[in-house]
Amino acid sequence: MYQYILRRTLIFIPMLIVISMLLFALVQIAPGDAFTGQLDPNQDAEYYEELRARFGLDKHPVEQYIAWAGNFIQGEMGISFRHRLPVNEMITDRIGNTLFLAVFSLLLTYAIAVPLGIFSAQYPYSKSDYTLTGLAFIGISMPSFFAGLLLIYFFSFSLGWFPYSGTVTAGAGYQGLEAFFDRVYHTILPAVTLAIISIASYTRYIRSSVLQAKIQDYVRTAYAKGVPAKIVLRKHVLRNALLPLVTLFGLDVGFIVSGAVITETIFTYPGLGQLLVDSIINRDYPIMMGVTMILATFVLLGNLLADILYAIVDPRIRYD
Amino acid sequence: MKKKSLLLALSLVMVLSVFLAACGGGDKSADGGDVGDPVKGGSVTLSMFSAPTGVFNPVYYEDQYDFNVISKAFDALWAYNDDLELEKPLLAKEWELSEDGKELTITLQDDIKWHDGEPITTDDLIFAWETIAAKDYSGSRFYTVEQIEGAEEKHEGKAKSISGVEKVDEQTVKVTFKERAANALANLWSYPIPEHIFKGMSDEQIKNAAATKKEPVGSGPFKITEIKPNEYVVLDRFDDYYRGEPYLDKVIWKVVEQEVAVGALENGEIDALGQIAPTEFDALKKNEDLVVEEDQDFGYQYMAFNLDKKSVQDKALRQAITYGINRQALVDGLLKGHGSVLNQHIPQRSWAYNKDLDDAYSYDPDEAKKILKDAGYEDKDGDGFVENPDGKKLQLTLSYPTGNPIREKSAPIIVEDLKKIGVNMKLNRPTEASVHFDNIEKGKYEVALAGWSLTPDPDPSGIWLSTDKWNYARWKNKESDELIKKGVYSKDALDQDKRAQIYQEWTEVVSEDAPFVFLYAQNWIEAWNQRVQGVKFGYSGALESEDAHEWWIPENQQ
Repeated sequence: MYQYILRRTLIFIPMLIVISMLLFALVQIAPGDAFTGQLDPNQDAEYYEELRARFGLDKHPVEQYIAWAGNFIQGEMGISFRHRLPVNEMITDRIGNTLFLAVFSLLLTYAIAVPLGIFSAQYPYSKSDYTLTGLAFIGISMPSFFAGLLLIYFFSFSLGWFPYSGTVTAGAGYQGLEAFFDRVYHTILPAVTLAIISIASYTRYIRSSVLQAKIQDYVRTAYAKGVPAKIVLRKHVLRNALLPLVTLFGLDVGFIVSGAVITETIFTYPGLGQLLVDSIINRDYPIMMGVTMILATFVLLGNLLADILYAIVDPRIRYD
Repeated sequence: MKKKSLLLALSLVMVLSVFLAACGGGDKSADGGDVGDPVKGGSVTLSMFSAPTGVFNPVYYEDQYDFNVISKAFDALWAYNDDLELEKPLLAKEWELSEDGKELTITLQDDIKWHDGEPITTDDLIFAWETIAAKDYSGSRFYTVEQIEGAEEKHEGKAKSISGVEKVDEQTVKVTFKERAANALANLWSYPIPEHIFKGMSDEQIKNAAATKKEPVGSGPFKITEIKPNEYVVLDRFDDYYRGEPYLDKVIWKVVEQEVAVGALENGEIDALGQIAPTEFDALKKNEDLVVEEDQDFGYQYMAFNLDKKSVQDKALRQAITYGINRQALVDGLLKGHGSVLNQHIPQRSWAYNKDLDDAYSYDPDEAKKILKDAGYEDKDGDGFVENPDGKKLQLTLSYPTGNPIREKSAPIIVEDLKKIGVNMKLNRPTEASVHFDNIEKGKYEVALAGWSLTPDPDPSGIWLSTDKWNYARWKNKESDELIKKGVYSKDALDQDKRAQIYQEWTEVVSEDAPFVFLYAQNWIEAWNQRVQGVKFGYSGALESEDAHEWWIPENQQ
């Protein structure tokens, strides 16, 4: 197993290299750059050439890639064209926010979806099951920017319960625990927005998984032996039905982080997602490359994690 | 007209509120009427759509959003009045240009202080100029000092300091320009930066200093006290402000996503918003909590012809096309009337604006057809579209970028309009803005939509000289070049009225040759909560106003 993990981890390297090359190529194929069209007519045209030279944009693409990759290996992601700040600094400033948001929304997802899914499967084809199914259907099909705007409209503007932007109250200067709760308070709406889609799909998934498990022979046997229904559900049904969730969790890491792209933008929540959107709009390639590489790493790690967890919880799986 | 009815409405509200106040006996102020004298206290939350990059130093910032913050924390030497004349004194008490326009003497106000309590002197001003002229200066402002004698030498590393700058005393400085130029003052860098903090630092160090990014020390009515990157900047009242202690305790600049900003404004979550879309105007106007103002923006939209292409080299064709586009319909339909047709490169508010061009090229498809016919464009094969005078098919291609929804919508309308006069224009798929402008810069287009934003000074060089890189139309006209130069460097240009005359002549040359179809100038719309008093909607709007020290909030609404 350790060998398997090692092998899987090592595979990351060529994968990341390919991803970075593809990204770099895409950037090169697109005409124009960060300084095209940004003009101030008072400015000499030469100034833009100087800028391009300063950021190495005048070099051959291959040369640029090698320079970028060399720095990246040493943990340096370059300087942002627009902000003129080290990309490392900008990413570390924001990665905490994104992780906070992601963890929060994952917890929400599990806390809500698991009981709902089980409930739904307990009383299949009942009125409440149909209601939940309908709601889940709406949840899955609702684009997250729309969900975000709806939540802002109802819970911020109409009811005034939650803030509509930012991660902390502007100018309040909270300290300690107060600051933490202020942050949680600001994260609730974006986390719910992010969670809506996953809650919907998780509920559906758990429902069918539990239903599947309920008709298995071992469940029937357990009932026949006279095991109380509650225990059958907990020990025999859920254990087997919830197993695949582990895989979902791994895939979810990537999903949540990429879902954050839209959600963070709507809520002016400064995380990696918002940074990525911003950098694409401004053609700020160093940030774009940096953030994408990190997101790619997250997705790969998530998949690895899923595989490992699966092996741990399901002894039938062997990795050689 | 619009202004008058606004005035009428305002005075009605005023009368009404006095009446209400008399009846109720209270100091009702919810309708923006009689609110009494300014009082201290309260805070105002201003908003912007994108985060500032975080460079809060006038010498280095590049971003409009950074300037939003800077506009409250730093003062310039002087400002434009609402007629776009550079004559409002700020940090400079007075200034005088010599008869020959080559020597400028600036006198600073008495007792002006930086936010840290140090006095602001001419050293700080000279320091700003020297920083910008330095050889290693990495910002984009060299053009603001280039005209000073000796700045070039310092920029090239041949001199240690700018020879044309002479400190007379702590309050007086003398500047010698290389040549007489009418816009010398308008172009000159006018923000001092604190020498006592930046002295001895290299360009790189100043750019990354705490006083640039984290704890800026400014000269304006409010001082930056808290920066939460990408979320907000809090500015506190500066008690020692030379124009009097500001009324507000705090001004907060907050980043709010465009989609929710209008809702937040209507809901009172934020106090003011700029860059409002014309389609929102009517809804906001109905909201009694808000004051909504509009004025012609400095910028305008246009359709450029690439004069390197043979197909559009015929002046008659360009004129016909200009007549054939119903520009007023674009303003009425797409801008909901919140804009105006413009026929020149100069905004209406400017003293150089040419009123004679107001009705130039007003929509006239018959005139367009007549011009085409006279110039030999006729539909010979009966397909409804005219052929070139030499009998070949005439087909133009219009390129346009994504990003500005109104501009995007105008493209197919223009094509339809032209169809009516028999000009065949094919619509390219919209391209992403930086691709579009890259193509234009490289001359890879035939006809294209674009827009310019302008500065208060009317000098059009940089865009309109035959040799300019930003001369997108590749328009080469000797007369125009001469007039543009005359508008800055002639003796006449030093007299504003004569200078205006020169530009009026110039705008007519442009109009006659029609290298562009000037389309429209969209109005600049801003709105703020009526609880904020003392707000003036000037030439640059209200949010960026340099007079924020006069804003105040009635006590019962703080």
